[in-house]
Amino acid sequence: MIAPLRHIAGSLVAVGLQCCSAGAEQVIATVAPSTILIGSNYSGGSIVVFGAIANDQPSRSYDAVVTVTGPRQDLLVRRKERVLGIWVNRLSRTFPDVPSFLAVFANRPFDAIASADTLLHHRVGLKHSIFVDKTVDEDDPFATNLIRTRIDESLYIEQPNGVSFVSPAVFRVEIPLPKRALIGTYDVDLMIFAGGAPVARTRSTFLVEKIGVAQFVATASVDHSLIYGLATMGMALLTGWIASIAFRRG
Amino acid sequence: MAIYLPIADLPVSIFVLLALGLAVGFVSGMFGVGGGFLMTPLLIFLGVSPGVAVASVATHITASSFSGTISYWRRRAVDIQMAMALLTGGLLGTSSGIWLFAMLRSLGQLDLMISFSYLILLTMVGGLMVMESVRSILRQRQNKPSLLRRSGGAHTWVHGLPLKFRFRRSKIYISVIPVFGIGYVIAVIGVIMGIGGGFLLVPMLIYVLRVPTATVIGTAAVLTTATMALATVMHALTNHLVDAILALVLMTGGVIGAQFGARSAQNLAPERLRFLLGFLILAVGFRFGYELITPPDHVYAIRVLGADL
Repeated sequence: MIAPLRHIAGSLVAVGLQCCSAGAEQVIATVAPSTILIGSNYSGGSIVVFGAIANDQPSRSYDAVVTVTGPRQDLLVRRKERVLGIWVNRLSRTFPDVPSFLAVFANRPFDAIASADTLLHHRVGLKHSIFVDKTVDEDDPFATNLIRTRIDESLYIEQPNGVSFVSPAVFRVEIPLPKRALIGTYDVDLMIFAGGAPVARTRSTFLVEKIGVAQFVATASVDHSLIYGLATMGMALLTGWIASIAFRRG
Repeated sequence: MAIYLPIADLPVSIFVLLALGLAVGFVSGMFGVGGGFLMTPLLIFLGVSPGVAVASVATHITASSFSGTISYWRRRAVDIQMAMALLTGGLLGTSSGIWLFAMLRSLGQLDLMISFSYLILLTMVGGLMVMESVRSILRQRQNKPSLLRRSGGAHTWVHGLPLKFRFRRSKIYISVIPVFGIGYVIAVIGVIMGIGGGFLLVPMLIYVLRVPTATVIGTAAVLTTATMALATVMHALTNHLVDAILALVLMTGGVIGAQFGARSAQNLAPERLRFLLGFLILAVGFRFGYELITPPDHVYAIRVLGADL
């Protein structure tokens, strides 16, 4: 399910201060495992993110928002309509560069962490993180249904109580990965808020890869499609031949 | 125990897949058809995307129909001349089918097209088979001769066509044009719907070409093997949708189930077999029709661009 031990290296990531205001706080994160392996027995997995706030001020109480973004893909959303009594695909809309997976976890409800304007400005929360350049328009049925469908499929998750603080400056969050996880690089973005304003931010990544037979088959089918097709055909003929011999007496 | 299907990108219980192979294999062995018309919809129901289901079922049918071909060949129940003539049309049909498949996919109407072809073909063929078998069961009860018996004068327009050829094993003298044509049509339909087309081919050979029942299933099996083997390679080349792992598990269950099905069939009268198969086909057809006319659970559907449906 989860990767074998040797892959749980955990990536230590240095401090990132690019976002944030005056405070001296820094945040350090580890993501484990650093690689999720999809073998022939994969049926979902999860990653654990540990975060620690350095140079924290005991008088302050901190909030943490952890966002995991999977490889982006272009999506087509189609609407079925009834034509002559039959339901067919009619209108459609393309959404470029939409995350294949998106999880936004926080330690308490977002509106308690910061104001709506602050969240929008720093693109914190599910509906601010989906599109690269804009926020989801609540009046656009294609966009809202895109999100609803992906939430139903557990591909998009917003969890305001998912991050737990172990101590005032150390937190932990476990994020489930979908059964249909796309292979590629997943970004992990950690943001620390104090008093309604962001004070520290860092980014990390982890990989999702296919291994073993799953990797071999997936690669061969694209890179050597003719050989793959002929081999699959050969396998089918062989199976049929073996069956006809095995059951000859009957 | 879940197994991850590398092309379908989906973990599925290996026991569910094996059971599916066994059950569909039982039906296919019983009626001498590939069973694709059952397998493809069931895979879609399991969450496999229609494109991957259609392409991988082609591989599965290659295995089951090849095992059938060998058994019929041993019993000298294959008309190889007719199989070759059907195949010539069939190879052309497979290429056209793959091209049409890719085109419909880019138009975004592949799933509608698949549902629609299923609805029309299954209800039509299933309905005809049920009616025909009920009629012959009734005639038998009244001790009248079977309708399928060949009578010397029973010629149709098909027998008026030029380019006649004597098919020795089947003992018929007929134009090769309808033979090519049937091979072509079956192959196009088979590729798009992910079925071998056996349930269409066998009635066509019997009712249109008057091929005797002794050679019809064996000959159909040869055509199915060849077109589905080619379809596997071409689906792999053009659409990269053949899931070898999925196909392997399915065919393992399938070839075993087919043996049990074939044995059960020996205890049933042909009319009853045709009635049961017709009923099954009709039921699947109605299921597709029901889906097209009832409001869907989700009016909005998402498709990843540049990948499978």
